[in-house]
Amino acid sequence: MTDNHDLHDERISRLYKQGNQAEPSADLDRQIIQAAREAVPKRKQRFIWPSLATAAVLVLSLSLVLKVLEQQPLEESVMSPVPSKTEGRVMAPTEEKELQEKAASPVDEKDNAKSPVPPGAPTQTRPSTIAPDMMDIAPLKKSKPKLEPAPAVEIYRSPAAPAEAVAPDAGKIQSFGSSRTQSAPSIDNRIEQELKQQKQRKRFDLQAVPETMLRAPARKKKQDLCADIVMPGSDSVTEWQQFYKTAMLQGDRIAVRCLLQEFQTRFHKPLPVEELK
Amino acid sequence: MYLNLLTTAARSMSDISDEQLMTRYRTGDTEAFDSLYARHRGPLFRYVERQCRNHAVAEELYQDIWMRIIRAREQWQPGTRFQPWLYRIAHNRIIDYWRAGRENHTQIEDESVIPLDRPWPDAIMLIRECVERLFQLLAGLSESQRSAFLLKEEAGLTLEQIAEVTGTGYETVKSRLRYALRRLRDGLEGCDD
Repeated sequence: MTDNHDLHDERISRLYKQGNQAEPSADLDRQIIQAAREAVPKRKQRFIWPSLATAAVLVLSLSLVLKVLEQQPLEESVMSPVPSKTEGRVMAPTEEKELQEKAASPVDEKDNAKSPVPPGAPTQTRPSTIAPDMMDIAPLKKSKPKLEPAPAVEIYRSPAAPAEAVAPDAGKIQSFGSSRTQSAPSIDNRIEQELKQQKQRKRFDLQAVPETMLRAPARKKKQDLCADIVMPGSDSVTEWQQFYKTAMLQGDRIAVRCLLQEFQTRFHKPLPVEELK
Repeated sequence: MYLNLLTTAARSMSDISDEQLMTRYRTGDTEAFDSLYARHRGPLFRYVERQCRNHAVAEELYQDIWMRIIRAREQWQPGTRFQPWLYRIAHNRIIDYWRAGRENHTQIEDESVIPLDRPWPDAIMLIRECVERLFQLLAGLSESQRSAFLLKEEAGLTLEQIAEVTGTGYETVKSRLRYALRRLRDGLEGCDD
């Protein structure tokens, strides 16, 4: 007798299957299935809440980062003319100093005459709500070339220009908050004054500015600033004039000055701009 | 209603192995459990019922076995075979049941058989009578022999798997099964095809 025969009998297997058809009741099935389902949701819920919490934290973090990134360029452009030492904590003295400097030049005399703010006026802070293009009219400080204005449209700026060259202290934003204590009417006056200055400045030819003004004490640093500006590549005077026109329209005095200087250096004659006026 | 649901569940996942279903249930897939339950509900229930020979007790034990499966799902290792694991839990539960009523089942490991209560007629029997006789013979086997027979016939386990479930050696299982079949053959004389 083989092992197979010893351990398996087809006839017995068949009889067993014919006779044994018992099954659990439907009620028993229901109870077991129910228990199996109830056992799982408890486990699932345990994992749902941490997932939701993680998702909420991620969303909040992301929105915070986006908010900061959104505000940063605006604040940088607003802060760019702020000198490094005074840092906008008290803006007015800086502005006053600038106005005094402008008063020394024949061109700005007119502006100062119209200015409602006398040189010795009480301290005023610069509001953070001033538009970025308003910053363009801020004059260059003799010893602080970092006060280069931030142009509204930087179509001719070198994209690789280092941020420090334009606004080295732009990151110091926190001190600017205190400037918001200025009253609304004085802000309006200030804006109005600066708008007038910008309007008048566009009217005169920068070539007429005395050499002493062009040769500001911060000349060396001004050259550094000129390095950020992409000059026309061709020798076409028209292209240089177009560049000049664009810079004038945007009120970018640094670019205009650099352009004229570069033209003078390259072609040993001044750029003809009379016809453009 | 539940039977229909279970049949549908079993069909929808017929290509998936028991082990995969259990793994899926472990990760929260209740439909996988439905399918797994539908596959094993009949054989497991019959195994339990034949072992305890009491329908009400069988239902109680059967439910308890599935509850143990549900609770032990976290301990399930994907590398192991599901069916031997299921029947080991069932076997242990039945052993516990026997031990709880030891006064009636004092010879769990005893290989002796209970003698038939009445003489068997010499005449050729009807199939129904043969089946009835088979179950009487099964009831007369020792628990270990009956367990070996039921695990093979009902669950379809191999001898190695039966040895694993019952916690005995391969040769012991062979011996028990051989003895059980000889006893059944002897008792079913006249039930020829």
